Amino acid sequence: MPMPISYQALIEADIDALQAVGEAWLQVSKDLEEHLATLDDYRTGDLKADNWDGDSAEAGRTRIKEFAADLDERAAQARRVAAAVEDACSGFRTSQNGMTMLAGMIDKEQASLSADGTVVPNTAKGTAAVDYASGMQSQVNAHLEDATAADEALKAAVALYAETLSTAEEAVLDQLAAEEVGALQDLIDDGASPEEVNEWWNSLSGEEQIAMLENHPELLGGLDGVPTDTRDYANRELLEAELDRFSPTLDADIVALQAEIDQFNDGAKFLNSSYDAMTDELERLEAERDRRDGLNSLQDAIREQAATGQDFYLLGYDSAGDGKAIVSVGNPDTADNTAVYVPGTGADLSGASGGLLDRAETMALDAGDIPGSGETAVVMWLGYDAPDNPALDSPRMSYAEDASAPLSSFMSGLESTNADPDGTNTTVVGHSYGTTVIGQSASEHGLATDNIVAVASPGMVVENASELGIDPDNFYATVAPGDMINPVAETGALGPDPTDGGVNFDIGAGTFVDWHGFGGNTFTSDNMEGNAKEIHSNYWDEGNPARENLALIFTGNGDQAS
Amino acid sequence: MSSDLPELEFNLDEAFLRMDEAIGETIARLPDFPGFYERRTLQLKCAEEGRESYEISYTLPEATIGSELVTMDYFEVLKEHWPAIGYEIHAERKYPDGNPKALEATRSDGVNVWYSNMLGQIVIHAQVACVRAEGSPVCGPPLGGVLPENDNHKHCQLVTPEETESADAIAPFKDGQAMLRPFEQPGREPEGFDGQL
Repeated sequence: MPMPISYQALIEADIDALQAVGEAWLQVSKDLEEHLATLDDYRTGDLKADNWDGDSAEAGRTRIKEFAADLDERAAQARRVAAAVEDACSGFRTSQNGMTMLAGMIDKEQASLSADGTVVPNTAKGTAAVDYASGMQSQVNAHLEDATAADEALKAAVALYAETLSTAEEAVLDQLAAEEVGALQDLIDDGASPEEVNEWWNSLSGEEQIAMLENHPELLGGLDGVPTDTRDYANRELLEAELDRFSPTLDADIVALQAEIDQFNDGAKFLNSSYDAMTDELERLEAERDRRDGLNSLQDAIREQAATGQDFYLLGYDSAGDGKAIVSVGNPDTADNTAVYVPGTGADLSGASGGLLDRAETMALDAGDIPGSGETAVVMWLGYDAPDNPALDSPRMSYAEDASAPLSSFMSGLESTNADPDGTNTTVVGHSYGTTVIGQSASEHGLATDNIVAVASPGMVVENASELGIDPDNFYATVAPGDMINPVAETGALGPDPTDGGVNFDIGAGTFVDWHGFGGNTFTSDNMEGNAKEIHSNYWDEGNPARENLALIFTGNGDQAS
Repeated sequence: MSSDLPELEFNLDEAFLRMDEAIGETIARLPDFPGFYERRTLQLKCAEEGRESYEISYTLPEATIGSELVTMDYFEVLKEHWPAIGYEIHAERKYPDGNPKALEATRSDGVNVWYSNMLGQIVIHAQVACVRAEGSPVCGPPLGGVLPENDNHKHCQLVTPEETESADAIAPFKDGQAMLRPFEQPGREPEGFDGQL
């Protein structure tokens, strides 16, 4: 049972002191990160392989890396506690201010407020005074309940993040989670919308939320409508747990099995029945190793802060198949601008922790340069199975069709968790086949976004920007001269070229058709003097004007894009 | 940056030093230079395995946002200064109202410098495209009086001037390390540029 906060305690609470505690936690986090950076500098500098070689050196570097990972986890914990304290301070201040205002408003002819928070009616004034006191008492109680909820949430958050839960407290959280998980499972089974999920989440007390996060991260990590910081925590826990499940002898097992297989000469391969089984097993182990390495790369990529100084948020991941990942640079729930980047053909888990995430980081950095624009969060959304082969897979619509509902749901989820959805400028930007996904999703399910940007699009399924569910004036497209996508877009196989205002080739009819243009705006990109294939990928490269234009659009200055 | 990538005369070890050097050369002749507020680094993958692109960005102080000096005059200065020191200007962009948006030039060693006006906020980027990802990237102290807390050098290891001296053995620059000397005061030109530009 929560310990209720009394009227006197709320009125007299020194919230500034608590605020200072939160700031101290934040400072601890920053200090740890500084030490982390120093260690990393040693590992990749003075202690790098060029300077220190051999088994001891390798073991030393590995130990430092492990230690750094531990340090990073501690820094993240301290940061989370600081955020929880900040939230609690905000809640306490609201309740304290509300209570103070209420005390000043009480009509002393009708009732009086006693030192323990009881509103005592002036019975000489009859039943009207009793009713009045009852109404005021309800308001007093509401403020006390809010303060108590903030206190319980803080207590649970500190216990969870700082790992100070006692066995008894864990049992309480287990019980709370057991009571709530059924409701969540029902929501998921019924296909609840992100808004409904968000309503459910907000209906939980802080303690219940912590209980669910602690006990069921697998249900929350990828669930649209759950706040970003909660999803991030859940997914990082899941990622860590999945990595722990890989056999510690995996690499050695592969080497040993390969050595056994190498013993077979050509004749023995056919005669020995175990040969095929061994090669199959080797293939399985190698696939497992690749999966582990991909997840390790993802974990490494989001460990430290981005070049912008923003945190990374892991909003979802899946190691099956080519892998999927949704990573945000900055928190879209609190940012002033949010851009969601949908990559195209060839995108996989390896890219999600490499080049694709680099692009998101670059876009966030560029947008941050626009004065007065506030913070821009950029989400790299690889929440779909992207085509692997540009010639064989990319002409097919099935990938976009499969991605259509998840992208729409994700955008609705962001809208529902946003602290100020009306005040946030939101953009969905696709590259290559990612634009086809966006077109399909926008036209089939709708996208909760203000702007849509198509970079090097092969076609967006729709005939006109007006079919994307946004004001066509908020649609932007670009393609660089010489991009290999240009002839593909001209076929019209995936819809008309969104940068083209003129003639398109109708592949079905086998003829050129005249049409009235896609609508919206176009902006300049440079081919950076690359070949057709390179041009298709270098929109985020050094000095490409596409970067300036994307930053302008993301921050609500699309009229300055050119 | 075609697939027949031209061999740059340096690798990852030197990339950040070269970029800082190019920015130092760029600002050396900007009158009443206000100094920098922040330094940041970026990394981008290249299509070709084993190569990476890097970028350093310096932002000018908030007080300069929208000033005629940095959003107009410096463009004109750089149009003369860059060619004078052997840089080739290859891009010039304007806003719809005709005001300068960006100017870019390439140095003979392949370092690209990008003077960018983001709605009044000036950012000077230097970039190297697709260097061989060999070695450990180091960077010297930031230019233009950037305070340590505003120096976000995520992708390179900061070396002190003494260490930079030793790095000279693998990263020889003409006339030593003068280009890497941080500006002590905003607006002060590095003495080491005298006679070199």
